[in-house]
Amino acid sequence: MVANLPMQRPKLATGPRAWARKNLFRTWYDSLLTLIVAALALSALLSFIQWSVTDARWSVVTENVSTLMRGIYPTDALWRVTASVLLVVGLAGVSWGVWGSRFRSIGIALFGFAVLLLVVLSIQRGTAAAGSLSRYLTTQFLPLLDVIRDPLLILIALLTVGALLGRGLARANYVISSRALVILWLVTIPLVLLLVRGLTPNTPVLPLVPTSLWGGLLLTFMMAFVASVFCFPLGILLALGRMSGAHARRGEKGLRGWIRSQGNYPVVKIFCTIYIEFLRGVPLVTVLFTANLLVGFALGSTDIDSVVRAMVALTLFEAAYVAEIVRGGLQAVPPGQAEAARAMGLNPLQATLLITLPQALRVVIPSLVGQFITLFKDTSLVAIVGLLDLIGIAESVRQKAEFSGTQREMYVFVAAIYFVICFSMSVAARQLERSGSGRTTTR
Amino acid sequence: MNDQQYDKPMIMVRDLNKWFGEFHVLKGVNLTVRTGEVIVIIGPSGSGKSTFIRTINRLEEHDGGQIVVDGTELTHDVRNIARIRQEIGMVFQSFNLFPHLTVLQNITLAPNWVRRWPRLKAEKKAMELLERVHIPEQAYKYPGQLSGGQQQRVAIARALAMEPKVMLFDEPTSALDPEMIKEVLDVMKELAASGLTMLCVTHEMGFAREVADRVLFFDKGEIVEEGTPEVFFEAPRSERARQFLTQILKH
Repeated sequence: MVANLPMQRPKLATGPRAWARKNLFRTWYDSLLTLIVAALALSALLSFIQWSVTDARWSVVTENVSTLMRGIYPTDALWRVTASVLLVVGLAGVSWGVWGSRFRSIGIALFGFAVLLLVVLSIQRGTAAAGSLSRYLTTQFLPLLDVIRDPLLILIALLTVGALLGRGLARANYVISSRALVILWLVTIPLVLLLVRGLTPNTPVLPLVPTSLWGGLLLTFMMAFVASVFCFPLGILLALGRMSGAHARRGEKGLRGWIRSQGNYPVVKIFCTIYIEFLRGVPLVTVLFTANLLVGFALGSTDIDSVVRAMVALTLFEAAYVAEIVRGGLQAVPPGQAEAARAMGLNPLQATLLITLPQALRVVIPSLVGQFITLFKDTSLVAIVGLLDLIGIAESVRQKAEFSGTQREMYVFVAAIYFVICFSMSVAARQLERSGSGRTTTR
Repeated sequence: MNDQQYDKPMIMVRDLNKWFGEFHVLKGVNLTVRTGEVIVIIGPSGSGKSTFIRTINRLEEHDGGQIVVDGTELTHDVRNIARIRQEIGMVFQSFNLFPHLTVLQNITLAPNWVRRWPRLKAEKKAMELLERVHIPEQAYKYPGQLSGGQQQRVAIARALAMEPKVMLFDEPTSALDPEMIKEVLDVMKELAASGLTMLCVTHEMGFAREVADRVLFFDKGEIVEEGTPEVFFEAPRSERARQFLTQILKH
């Protein structure tokens, strides 16, 4: 009795061949498109490899790696930068273990990368055999790997150990370890600033390293770090300020009425709106130049160093963008949420901090991360006001006579660094979106 | 229900007026609600019945007249508003549970932050209330994981957690699937029987008949008719109410 058997789902063809047929060669024009794109990609890749193996002079990178990384930061204080990096990476690892969801796949990828690095390096350094490839390997590629091997291996190890530790902690008690981690991050941020900057010129412990000595990737990182940390709360305040006139309400007259008007402050709203629209309407370069001139003036002293000026400019500029993103999130929270909060007697501050803001921020995680990635890349503009960030250093190094004509090598290297960092931020953000926030449904 | 508990007015509304722009939504509404009274408000949509109960905890501001809840008058004074809101629980048509908090956190939020209860006391109370609305097993889930009827029962528990003297229900069953309406109405009937002062805007005529002490019929911003459910449903005096009832009962 065939008719009474439960209906089976028809078997679907699986595997790479079926996938390719379905997605790449479904019709004749699909196939044509696939072939054209593949050919273009392949030829670009091949010509890049050929250039990189035969013509490129990677020595410009390998010989200047330390300058590119830290500028002229004094060598005897370098341990402080190292300690900061180790601290942050270790903590990032633990955070990944506690909050992250896709531990295994990324872990395997990192582990595989580490093994690859070791295997490539343990291959016998070829006796100077003929042929451009082996010459390339021995004289150009291996020195580069030599330079980055130890730091990378240590970082990967630290990240993995931290993640395993975090896993264990999360399993033991998720709530407590999660809270402890937030507190640890809040402590680490000022600690890192303190470590890298130091106290005063004359203190025996942690003597001051003036920002004029910071450079390269270190400077880029510190700028992005400081600007993100400060522009985030500032942006939230601006967004709340701009929303504060959203519900026009009649109130008592006078100052008392103004204070008690329950979150309806037209003056604040106008100020925030003007601030946001103005900063969004001008290019970052103008803000950087203006800050260079005005910050010292505003603080009544002329010896504010230019790194701090640039940090202030970046913070103020990015805060306007963060504010608009957060405002979008606030508007996406249904009005019933704030209504329910008010109806149960929460005051406007509690309703915002406990109900609307957490929901709004969760909605805008992807856009916020996008903005932080933009911010990280925006730091490269400080080269224009004469700071030697990664781009600035790269530019000054390759202008030396002995490295003339190596701008391609230099910028490929710089681009790779930017890419790795920004891509990691993207991946981390996707983890953040998945953890905990998947349950949100409005209603 | 005995008549003694009815003598003190819990809510007094005098000549309440409200405009939305040029539109006169509430035209001189008068109402006195005694302690323990259950009032059901019915009327066609747009008649101002939701707006009316929302003025009582000042989700809507009134433009004229007087509202006194438990001896405190609603004015622009934020302290008065806060005091009154603590005494009034509200249940919404669209539940308005907080999706980023668990059921338990939804219920303990206001007791924690407004009443300043210690966490354990608030959680104990929350579990009692969840028992009362028959879903203690859902305490650690998120609202998105519950059915509509369960969500609305959590919303009722959340409103009760502040131990309010008055409960406002704004069409609590209108967003629910038919098979879930009963579970919410059952909880509301139990509350009414417990002597809580309640104002319910609803389209559930069976509920109105069964539990209301008084039925108010709203039309065009006015209370057109009020009376006990027996009188109102059997012999409505106004033409408008008669029309409304025949239209409702056709379905």
